[in-house]
Amino acid sequence: MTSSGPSAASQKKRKLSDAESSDEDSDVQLDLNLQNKLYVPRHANLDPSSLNSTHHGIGIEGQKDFVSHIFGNEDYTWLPLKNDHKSRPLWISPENGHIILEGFSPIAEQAQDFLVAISEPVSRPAHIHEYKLTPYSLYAAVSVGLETEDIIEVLNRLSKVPVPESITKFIRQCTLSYGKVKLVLKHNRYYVESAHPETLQMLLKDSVIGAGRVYRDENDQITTEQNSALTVSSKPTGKDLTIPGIQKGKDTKPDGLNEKLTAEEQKKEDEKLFGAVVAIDKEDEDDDDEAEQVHAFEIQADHVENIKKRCNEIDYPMLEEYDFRNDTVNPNLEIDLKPITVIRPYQEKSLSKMFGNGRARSGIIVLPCGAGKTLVGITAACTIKKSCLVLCTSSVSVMQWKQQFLQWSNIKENQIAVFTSDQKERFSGDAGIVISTYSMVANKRKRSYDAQKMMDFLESREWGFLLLDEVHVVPANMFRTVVTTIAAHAKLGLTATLVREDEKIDDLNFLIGPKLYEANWMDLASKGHIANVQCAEVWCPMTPEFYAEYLLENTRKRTLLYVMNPRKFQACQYLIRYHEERGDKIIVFSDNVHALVEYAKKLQKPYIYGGTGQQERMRILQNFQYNPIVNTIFLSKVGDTSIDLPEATCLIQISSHYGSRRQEAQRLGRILRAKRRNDEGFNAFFYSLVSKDTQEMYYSTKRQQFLIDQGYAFKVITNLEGIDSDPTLVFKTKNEQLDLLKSVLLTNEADLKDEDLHEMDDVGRITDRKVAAKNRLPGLVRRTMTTSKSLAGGDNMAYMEYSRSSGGQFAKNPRGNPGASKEHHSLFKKHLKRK
Amino acid sequence: MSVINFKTNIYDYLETLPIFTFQRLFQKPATCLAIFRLLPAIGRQIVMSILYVENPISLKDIQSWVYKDGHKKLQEALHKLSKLHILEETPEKGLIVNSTFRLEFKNALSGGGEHQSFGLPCATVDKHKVDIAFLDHFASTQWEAILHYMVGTTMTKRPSRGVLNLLQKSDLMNSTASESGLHITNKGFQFLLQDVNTQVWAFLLQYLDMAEMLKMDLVEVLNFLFQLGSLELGQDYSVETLTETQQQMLEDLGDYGIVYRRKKGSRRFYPTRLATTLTSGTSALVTSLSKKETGTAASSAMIAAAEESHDEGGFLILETNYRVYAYTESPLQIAVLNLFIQLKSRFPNMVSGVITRESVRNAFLNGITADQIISYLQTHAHPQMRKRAPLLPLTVVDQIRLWEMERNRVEDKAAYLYKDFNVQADFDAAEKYAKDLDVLLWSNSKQRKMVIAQEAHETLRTYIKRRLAGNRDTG
Amino acid sequence: MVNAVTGVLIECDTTVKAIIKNLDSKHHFIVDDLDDTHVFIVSTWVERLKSELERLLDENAYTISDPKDPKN
Repeated sequence: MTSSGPSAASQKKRKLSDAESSDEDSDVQLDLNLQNKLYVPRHANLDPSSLNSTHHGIGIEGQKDFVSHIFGNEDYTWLPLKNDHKSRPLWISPENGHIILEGFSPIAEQAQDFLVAISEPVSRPAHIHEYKLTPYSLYAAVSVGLETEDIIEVLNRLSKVPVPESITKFIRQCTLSYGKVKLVLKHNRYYVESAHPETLQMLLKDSVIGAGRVYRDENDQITTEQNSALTVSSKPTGKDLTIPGIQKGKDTKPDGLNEKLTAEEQKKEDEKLFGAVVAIDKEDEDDDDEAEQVHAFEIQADHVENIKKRCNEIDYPMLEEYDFRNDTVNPNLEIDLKPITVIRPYQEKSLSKMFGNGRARSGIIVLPCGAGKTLVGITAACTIKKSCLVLCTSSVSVMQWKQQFLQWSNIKENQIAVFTSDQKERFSGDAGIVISTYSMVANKRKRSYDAQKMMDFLESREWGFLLLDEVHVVPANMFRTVVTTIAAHAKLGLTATLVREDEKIDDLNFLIGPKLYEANWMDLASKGHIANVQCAEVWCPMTPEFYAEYLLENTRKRTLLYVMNPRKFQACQYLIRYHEERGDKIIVFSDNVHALVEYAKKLQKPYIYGGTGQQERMRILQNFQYNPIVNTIFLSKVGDTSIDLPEATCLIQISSHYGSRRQEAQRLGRILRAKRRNDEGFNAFFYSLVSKDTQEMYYSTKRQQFLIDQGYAFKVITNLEGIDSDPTLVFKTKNEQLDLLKSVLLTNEADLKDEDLHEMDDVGRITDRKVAAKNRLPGLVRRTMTTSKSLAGGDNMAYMEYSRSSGGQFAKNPRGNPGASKEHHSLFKKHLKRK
Repeated sequence: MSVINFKTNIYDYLETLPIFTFQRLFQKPATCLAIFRLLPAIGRQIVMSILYVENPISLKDIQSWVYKDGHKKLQEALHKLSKLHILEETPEKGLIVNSTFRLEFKNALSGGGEHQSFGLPCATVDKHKVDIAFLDHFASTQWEAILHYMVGTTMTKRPSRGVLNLLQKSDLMNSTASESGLHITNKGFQFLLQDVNTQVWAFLLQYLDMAEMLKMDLVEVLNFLFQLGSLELGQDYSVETLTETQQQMLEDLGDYGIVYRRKKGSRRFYPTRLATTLTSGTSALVTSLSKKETGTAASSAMIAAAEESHDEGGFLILETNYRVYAYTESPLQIAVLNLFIQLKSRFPNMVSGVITRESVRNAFLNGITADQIISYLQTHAHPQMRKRAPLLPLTVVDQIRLWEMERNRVEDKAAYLYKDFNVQADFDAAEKYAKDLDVLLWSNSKQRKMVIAQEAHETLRTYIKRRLAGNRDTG
Repeated sequence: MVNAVTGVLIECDTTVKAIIKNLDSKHHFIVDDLDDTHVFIVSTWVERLKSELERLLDENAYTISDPKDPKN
């Protein structure tokens, strides 16, 4: 039902030209060869329940009772409980790899560290956390050095029930071939490396892989004489690597928390239980006792792509590691953190996953907005010390990245170059940093002369490090293009929100690398690294006149009606006033640009949208930051990501993008880094204004799901105290409301179209015409199927979400699928009530 | 949907009794003690303070014992005491303890007087002596058999005829013409959400009603119930001191699991925990006893775990993301949770689920209210939950209430619309008439329209006809 | 002449009222539109009205559920 939706919408959108767009910015061409190069391994979609056949029926019949049927195939009472289950913190579902963890267990902290390494966090509220084992999560686990049997062993130690056989099988199967083989660039030669020589021998028998092999004689000269010997060297370690900002040898054990919580004996027991986990964590650092060996064979540089593809096909995806300390061809970059720069513990932890064995692993680090992703990226760049290309989602964030590099590191200004539609700089010297946007790099058509020269430069050289910001906002195609056209030895993706039903994650795992680390939001908030936020959803009743029209109108107009609802206007005014009086700095978000402008003008506040020029943007943002009179600004979708405004302490959403969980999280992220977060009792506020009894309610609840699973709670506010007593309240009289209604109804289709185009930010400009084409490719049928069921009804890929299964919400609910009509807004609001 | 209030104690019932019944009740020291134990703390303190005061004491004096901010509580306690006829007012406006109560309560405290009201421990050793664990098991099996029957379990044996009768009389279950057997009612669903103590009392109160109908002596019944509350768990008692009515009761109470007798006609009986906690005020329940009889090695650990969590107060964890984790292996508890939670997975000692709009609406359809769900979640909150305030996530509680509210957005009432009055005075008179009869649902004087309850149509029509006819006559 | 009509008095909030009016435009079951929160309708339509309302209002509610769960 939806197959025509997104593509039709994108076709339409593509024809529009953004006010800000220039020649460089148009569609991404994704050639078919490229598609073929990026093949996702077979086991990537393995489901544990398919391995679970043995359990059905075993001894179950005798134990079935009258409530068993409630649980379908999830009645696991046949799993024996261990005698000492009380001291073990988790349960594992045989059917789906779900793990339920008691967050109050004395060893919960260690268990969490372990689980984050091997599974995907599903929910992490106050008491009980849930995780899920997936092929990707296990891929990530082995890639940071965990071994199959250790994973099973530690899981078993932590589990109240024996690790079910289906799960053991699942782990074995997923880790059998994943993470076993590495592609290493060392002394400027490419090696396929593994600790398992038999695996390499097996690979060499493959004709594609074998064909790329390089043989050398005793004098290290290439020879045609074939011999089957592998080179052997000792396993790499991170012992002598220093990551800037991190003190070596610092004890990384959790601070005295455990002692406080538990009796001494209990603690000892826990430590025994946990020995294995700790050992695994440390495995990267010290394995001097037994000098393990790794085996390798060399391959030709121009066969690398082919061999990578082939390895994916045969389910032995290669992890990419960059032995930057032994790279003598690419010149070093003079860069280090300034001595005053301090790295926080979780930043350190994430970096240690990346550099654990002394090389740079490619992968993704997930930190909430405001938790200092930028600094993690910069520190990584300072560790690798090679030329670095940074890609971000908008030209505003390009400037912010540059500024941050200058702030935290000692890089010279002339070594950082910026490449945007306005600026095309080059760095001086052999090595340097270039910061650009995805759209600049991914766009292949109609470049200006300058831009083309710049692109030639970017494509012609080898990059030590490719830093990818906000990876989950970017259409998958853009990634494919970027990742395959830029030659980079190590890739690091940064993001705040891995919204897990988004299938693009599948791609990211294999395009960039596995997820190396994912932080716990509530944990960071409780430790003061990000702000505490009170979230609320404010219910604004529709006026009878607006609601009567709402019932009559088509979907597009409906959206405008519920955004422009006079009661919502009033709630917005009320909240702005309330929070300005408290001394808050407020950002009001509206996806709908028509509404954005109307609200901002009516309430006399500055606003920024896609059509606002760069100079004007900077002027408004600076005023907001430094001018005590400007305490509220209105932002369109352009403000969702990357705009760094640590002054903001209050967010109000009046219109949003349907049920996008990611957008919700990104917007929340705008206040997580609030400067005042460490003030005593400080709270930031996040309100969603929702028109009651409209579709907005549905989207609003859906949008909150990701944050709710992180432990946030949305309070519903049905009544704003004293709102009607404000003499300056807008649209107070019925006549004013009717005038507003009239103007909304007069808004014509053309105006609504303009909104769409203005709403696009730098990333949004890259449309997804080719996605439709991709969906028709036979090689990708598997994912195409699910894609066609997608729904969240966005008009561009950046925000589109997918329902992974056919039984998804949207299949049942036509409302979720705006189909061919392409308007975009979902509003949602949250609010917070103060005592 | 009407909310059915379960009496959480026996006060409400006692308050309905006439004074001479109290006079008889007070003659038993055990009854005095039991009623005393049911009093709020401040009430107990007042009784102890003036128990030995022979002369009436003025209200003022009593008030001087407490700080100003305690006066409200004091007032409530005094009210309660007078309702129970423990405190009486003298003609001179003084307060004095009821003389019978005074005498027998003193006996209860000092051990004087007629002792057998506290039961007569058997003098001989029971050849078939049972221990507390046995009694707990017996009590939970019996009581849960009733609950199982209510939720429709086919696994346990059918309760006795007396129990079935009581279930039906109390409107917890009813029979439908079409099918055989009983079906749980809305009230029955609500009953399931109560704690065991409340359930037992609700059951016993119903029993009292029935006893009255059966012409049993109410005072003897009550005395026995109160006596049970003062017995010692694990001790066997002789039936010798019991009246005939009370011996008859033993059989019924055995069906409920409140007392244990090895066989009918046995000369001795054991009170179970259900009996000994009747008046203790602590809600020592049987629910946690409801172990599945798997008999595995793990089960002993389980019992320890369950008892521990029970001691601290509960087995339910409710998260801000609406997920629920319940440490239970009891099918009965799971069946109750299933009334308002969408359950997902079940492990030997824990089930997980999520509270959804759908699951809560199903509960509403069964007559369960938001308050009952919330109170169930509160009552059974896991010790970990109790470390935080508020106990339950506010957002979830609010949401459950909002879900309830959204069901009540439309009120409909069968009615008649009266309109087209030619004369304002006629309308006004009819409107006033309807208002006086309290049947006016809506009116608009300007439009001369009014809506009245359907059942009043005939009355109003007659009135208006008469008035219009009168108008014609005079006009 | 005074007229009395049998039917059902519906009391509701203004939103529900708007939905009722909207339904009435297709099905004509309102006897008299009394004011913003009251409407008098033919009695045979009460149940239908309630179920229509429920259906419409349900559309605006998102239910958390696991799409993989066959029990949904």
